[in-house]
Amino acid sequence: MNSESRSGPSRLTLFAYRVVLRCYPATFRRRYEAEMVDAFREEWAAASGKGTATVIGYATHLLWDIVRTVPREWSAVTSRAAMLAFLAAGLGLIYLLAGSRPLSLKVLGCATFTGAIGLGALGLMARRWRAHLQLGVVGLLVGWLLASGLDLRPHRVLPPQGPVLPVKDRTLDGAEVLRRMTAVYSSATSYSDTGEIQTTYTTPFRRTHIRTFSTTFVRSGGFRFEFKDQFQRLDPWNEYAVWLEQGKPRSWWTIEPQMERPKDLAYALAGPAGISSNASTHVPGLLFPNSRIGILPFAARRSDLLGVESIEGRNAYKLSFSGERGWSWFLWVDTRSYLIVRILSHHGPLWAPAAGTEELLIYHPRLNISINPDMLTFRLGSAPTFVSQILSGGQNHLLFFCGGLSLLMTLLNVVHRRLLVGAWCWKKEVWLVALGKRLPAGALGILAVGVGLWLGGVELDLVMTNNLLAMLMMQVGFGCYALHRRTSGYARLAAT
Amino acid sequence: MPAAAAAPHDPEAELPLTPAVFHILLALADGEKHGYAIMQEVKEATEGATHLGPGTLYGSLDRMLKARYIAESERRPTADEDDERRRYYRLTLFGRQVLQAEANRLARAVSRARGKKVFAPA
Repeated sequence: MNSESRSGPSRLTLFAYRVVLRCYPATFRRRYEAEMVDAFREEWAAASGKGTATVIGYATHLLWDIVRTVPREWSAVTSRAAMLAFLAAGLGLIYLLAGSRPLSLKVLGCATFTGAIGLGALGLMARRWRAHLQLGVVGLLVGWLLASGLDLRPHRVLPPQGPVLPVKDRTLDGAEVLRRMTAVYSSATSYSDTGEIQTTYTTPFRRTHIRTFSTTFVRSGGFRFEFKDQFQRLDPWNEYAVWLEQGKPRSWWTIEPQMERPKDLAYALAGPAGISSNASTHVPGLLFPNSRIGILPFAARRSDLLGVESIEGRNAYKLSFSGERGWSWFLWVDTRSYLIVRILSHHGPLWAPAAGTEELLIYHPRLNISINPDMLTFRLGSAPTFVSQILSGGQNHLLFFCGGLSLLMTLLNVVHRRLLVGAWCWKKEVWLVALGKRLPAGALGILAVGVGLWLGGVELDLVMTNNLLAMLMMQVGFGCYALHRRTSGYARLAAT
Repeated sequence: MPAAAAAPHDPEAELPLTPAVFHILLALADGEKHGYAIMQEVKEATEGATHLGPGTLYGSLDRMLKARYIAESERRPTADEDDERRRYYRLTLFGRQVLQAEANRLARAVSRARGKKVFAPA
């Protein structure tokens, strides 16, 4: 081999290799890192003398070697308790992934986050806290990154839209399109639609909450509106229904599972207006023009006809409505049927109009069709019970597990007189127990719980709120336990 | 291989060895060596078929130290002979017994294969 053609790895390559070596447990690294780097330097130099292909081959070999040996070295220093925690975290991850449709990086991130906390905490309790804390921190960072910043999916689950083309009929304007649209709905003998509501929050990170709805209407006196929502990703669907029974409005909501008898249809449809992003009032208001439901809330404003756009294979007029500062609306109306196919609204705070919330309503409407009478009735559901919620699976299992674990911790700590702060979380209710001899630690725990509640309720995605709350409760409990054991590093991390 | 053997016992109980451990023991059979030299010797002896990565090599060395197959050499090389930072490893008596037992096991297997005319004619 020509020694002159050999060149060692660059400083950047060496740095990268040293960084990768951080994946190994600290004890292993301390003992062998220098020798591994020396070996790497020699091997790299030998490979570089044989050409780029050899270097790439060596890098691949090295990477595979790391992937194979890192878990082996960690298993050698991991206690049984931490292995059990790892197993639990893995099972939890599979459970979350298997039960979650669609799969998102956020779910994966939260699962990693939970696993990291569990691993770190149980590792700490097994008194091998340095190694597990390190792993916990890495997992926590990865989880947090996945949960918050690396959502690679397009935030709107829509096919790409085509260009907006000019309207051929130059006499047509926004007001005329609205007039024709209103006339179509008010004269419809029957109508049905299915649709989707996509609410996209842009802060603190972009995420989309999807709900569904359907409308069925017969001019002779039949009407049903249904709206379905999931409070949390793994929860059963909640349903809100409004229908006419012998001309009288009725409503039913899973949350308050009993048939209500509202005084009129407008009152009944106002109930789900907020949670359905006004899907319950937009089209019904046009179908019942003489009711007090009201028509599109922005239709009274000045509208601009922007042009014609292809929406899912059909041409639609695109109208824009100007609003107060921070508000804007777009409406797409089918050019042939004059039925609404899409409504987009943007709500931004005054100080940051670009941020805020986007609400997209997607309609799949059908006009003057034969309506099956079954589509106009609503079969009452049964009220979910405490036991049925647990047995029905979904997120309740996870919450029950977290809540039970926290309760167990609380009891154990009480028995051993080590309790500083304990918490039990079930659904949206949180019970706190704060006892203990050491007031500063207890106060820290209470503060952490408060911050956790605030974060869970205000800043983070509602879909995962209870998960996060449960995790935070666990973290506070473990953190305070760690503080009590004078391992303040983890306590600070947990409190943070 | 036990994670941390309290005391060496029956070499036969250690078998079979993983290819990495066998090749490392074989590399140390004719004298003490440092990690990179072991890596090189294994690669050359197997004509590149077995290329121990740093993670495999040092992980194996760590477990072999705990199992008392090998020990760190007390002799330190002189500065002109080699890098003083490198640790040298040597076979222990128990390690040599394990290597012999594994070599015998493999020899028996090869002999059986030869008896069944498994090998292609040269």
